[in-house]
Amino acid sequence: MGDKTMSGCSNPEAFERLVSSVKTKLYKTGMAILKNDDDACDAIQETLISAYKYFDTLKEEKYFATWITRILINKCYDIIKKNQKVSYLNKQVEINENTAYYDEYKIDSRLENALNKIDSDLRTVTVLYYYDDFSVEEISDILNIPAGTVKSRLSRAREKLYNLLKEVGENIG
Amino acid sequence: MRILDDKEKDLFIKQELQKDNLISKKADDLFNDFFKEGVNMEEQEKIVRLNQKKKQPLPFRKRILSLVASLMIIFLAANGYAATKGYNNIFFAIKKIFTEEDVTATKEEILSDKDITISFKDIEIADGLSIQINSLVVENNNAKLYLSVTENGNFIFPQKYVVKDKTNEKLVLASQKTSRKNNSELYGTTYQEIIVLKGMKENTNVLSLEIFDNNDSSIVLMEIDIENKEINVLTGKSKGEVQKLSETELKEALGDYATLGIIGEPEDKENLIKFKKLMLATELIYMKENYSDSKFTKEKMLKVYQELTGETFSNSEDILGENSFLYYDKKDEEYKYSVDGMDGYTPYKVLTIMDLNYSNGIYIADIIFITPSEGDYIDNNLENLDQYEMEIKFKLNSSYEYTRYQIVNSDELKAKLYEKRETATINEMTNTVQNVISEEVTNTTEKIKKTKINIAKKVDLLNGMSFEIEKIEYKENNKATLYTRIIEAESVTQDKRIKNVDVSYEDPNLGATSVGNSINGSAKEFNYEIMLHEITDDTSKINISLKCEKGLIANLALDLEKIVLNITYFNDSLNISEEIKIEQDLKDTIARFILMNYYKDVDGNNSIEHKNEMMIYTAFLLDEDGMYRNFGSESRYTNIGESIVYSIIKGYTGINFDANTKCSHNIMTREENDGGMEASIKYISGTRYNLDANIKEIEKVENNGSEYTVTFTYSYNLKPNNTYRATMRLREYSFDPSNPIAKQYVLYQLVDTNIQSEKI
Repeated sequence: MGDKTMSGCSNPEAFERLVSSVKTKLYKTGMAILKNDDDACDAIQETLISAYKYFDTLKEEKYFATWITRILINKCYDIIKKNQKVSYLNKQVEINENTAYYDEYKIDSRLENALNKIDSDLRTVTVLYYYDDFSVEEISDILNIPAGTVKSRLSRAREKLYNLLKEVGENIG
Repeated sequence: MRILDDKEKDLFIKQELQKDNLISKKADDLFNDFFKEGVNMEEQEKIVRLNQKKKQPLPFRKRILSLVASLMIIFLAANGYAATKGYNNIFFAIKKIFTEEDVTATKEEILSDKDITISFKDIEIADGLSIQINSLVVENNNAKLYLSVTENGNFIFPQKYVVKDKTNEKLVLASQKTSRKNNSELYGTTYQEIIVLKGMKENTNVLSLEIFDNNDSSIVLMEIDIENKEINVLTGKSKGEVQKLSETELKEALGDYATLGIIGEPEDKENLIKFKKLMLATELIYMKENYSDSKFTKEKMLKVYQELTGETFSNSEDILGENSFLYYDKKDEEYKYSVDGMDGYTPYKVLTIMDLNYSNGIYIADIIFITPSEGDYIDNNLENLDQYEMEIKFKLNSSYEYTRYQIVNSDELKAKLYEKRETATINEMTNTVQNVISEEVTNTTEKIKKTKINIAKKVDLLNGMSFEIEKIEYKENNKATLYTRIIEAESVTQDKRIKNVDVSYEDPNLGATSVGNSINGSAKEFNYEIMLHEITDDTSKINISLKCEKGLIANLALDLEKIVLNITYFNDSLNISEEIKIEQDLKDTIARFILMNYYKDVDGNNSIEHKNEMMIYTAFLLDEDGMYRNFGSESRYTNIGESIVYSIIKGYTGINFDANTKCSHNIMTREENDGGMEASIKYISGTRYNLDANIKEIEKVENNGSEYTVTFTYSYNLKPNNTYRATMRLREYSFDPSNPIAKQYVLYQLVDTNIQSEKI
């Protein structure tokens, strides 16, 4: 990918391939922070535009997931800031129109509800660690918080999430 | 049942979370559209425009003239420069350059290929501007330094990078302009800078990097130790011993250590400091070790505590105290977190090290810091937080495992308010929490006060069809959902079925909006949800048109102010209009509360969760049975010293439990607080200590203007023979007139926590 910067994406195929490999993770991360589908999609769209524009600045593909996740998190924070959101209610996932898809989603969104029950500071690191498979160091880089803080948050989340998921698992059967 | 260890729990969580591999249809479509179309046209155009900004070539004659003019200017300027250096003209100066060896003209060495990863840690070099020194790569004798720059609303932009070889007498290796194309804001963008290093030597170990802004002012100067992969940010204070410290690293450490400081005047200062030190000690263990392997053994706790504070203790179990967030599990021989006390640590953020001095092995740092919660970071609220000042004394551990910095004055750390911010913050919330609510509503224009309007009106259309408007649920971001239900008899033919539901509405703030929805599918009876965007409290009317293949079936106009539904039915030969008054079901109106837990329990002890100073936003729903049920809550941590007040918001008492675990189970009947003073007092006293207390007698009520001082006696159900007398101050609450439920049932509010109580 050369030394070009900010001149767009010279290798759209590679971009598509890399994005495809992380798209579910991006969605989950967006949802973990923003907790609603519309905002998560907005953040993802902004992320894709930004990442596409600056894709050529990325030196190595192996850093793609970390890089784009970091962009996504910044976009999520932008949206939160823009919305001046003080979330009083645990919003449910908003899905409409496609009934079949909704039913399928609704079952698994119970897992997501378990995630939503843990504090917001723990939720993001939890998704990045358990779902996105980022290491503690990578999460530290992505969130710009000390690795120790990541570790302690993960530890705090573990007990709560374990109990919640166990409960959800039992209910789902 | 076998108890799982932490690694097994990790595996379980991972498996459970990864079961959920779905993304919403909207998100899936978004990805697919993006792949299909690439970036949208607007963005494409921007990129094209950027590329087109390159200068157009001049006509040939003009280019010649331009070249000659340029050469003349350069010649004259060069002569002028040469004259100042003592040469007759520029040609003598050039001769001198070619005849004398200069440090930049040395023959370049042949370098061996290398790819050294240095760091992926962000270094904030200006507000909103951070940089990573990623790697040094040497390939085919070309050396390049890879940097990653992240911009987040910064006002200072990097323009030039100067790299010098510190190992070889500051040989200049690069003076390179940024690859950034302009000075526009690139919010939330990370881009790469590749600095080409010329003349680097094989033995080059330490580089200096100085970054300049567009005014050629230095933004930062740092040293990069390639061999040890260490980066030291040098500042104006970088003299003597202080120079050995990395400002970035120190800021981080002091941010942790500042949490040991006391803000305000706590009652149990000694225990509080001890608790804070222990919490920090466990954080240091986490920082050092793999998350899954962290185990707080006695030896480890002693070691980290000693490194952190220089203090030691003979029996570590003693210092923890009973009921601590950390308890000693004798069976596993390690300290463990108790579940209820696990939340709470967020390091403070050091904004500035105002002064840093060194004397006799002790460093004295004067810092300005803020105490942000996770929510403050997410809301980008750091600028609105009160700033504190603190003096921290520390020394460097000569050998250490967990921390380089040993705090010397841990028991004396006291924060002074440095700058109070105008914006209402949690810190100011004492017994006037309700002001924060109203302020939030008035200041946030996009926030919708309304939560739900229940319509529950079924309209029988002509030709065997029904359309029910169930409710409108208002959401954040000017959105709402209109819940409807469509019922069509079996006899309705395909061409007369509802195919389109067109919705339009006009908002005085946001303008006209229309939403068209087409219906596909064969179901004869189904729920139909319509998302309404761009809606506010002031949206007064919603128009709905129901259409079949042949045309209009009905027009419905829902007046949200009068709660009236006007309907016009159409069929082949006639139009019929009707107005229906809708009786609103107020039972589902949501009342909002903020609850705060208090910091003393029944025995007068300060327990950990109380010290966490947690604040919980909670919304209650009054259900059909007349019960207030928790409808959702979000906890926020804050550091407000000892100013937590046991508050009643909109007349209701705060609930004295760990809201995280118990709030969702809370049920409060309206009978418990039916608006009367006795009931209010009963509820307040009953929940004061989370015990079922009964009011025996209201002995005295003194009215002092807007306040009441009430003396009453009570007893607990568990100990009915013991009677207590208490005095509390109440005041009437000013209702939110738009909330009929609050108006009906809420009357009194506790003025302060100072409830005098004695056994009689």
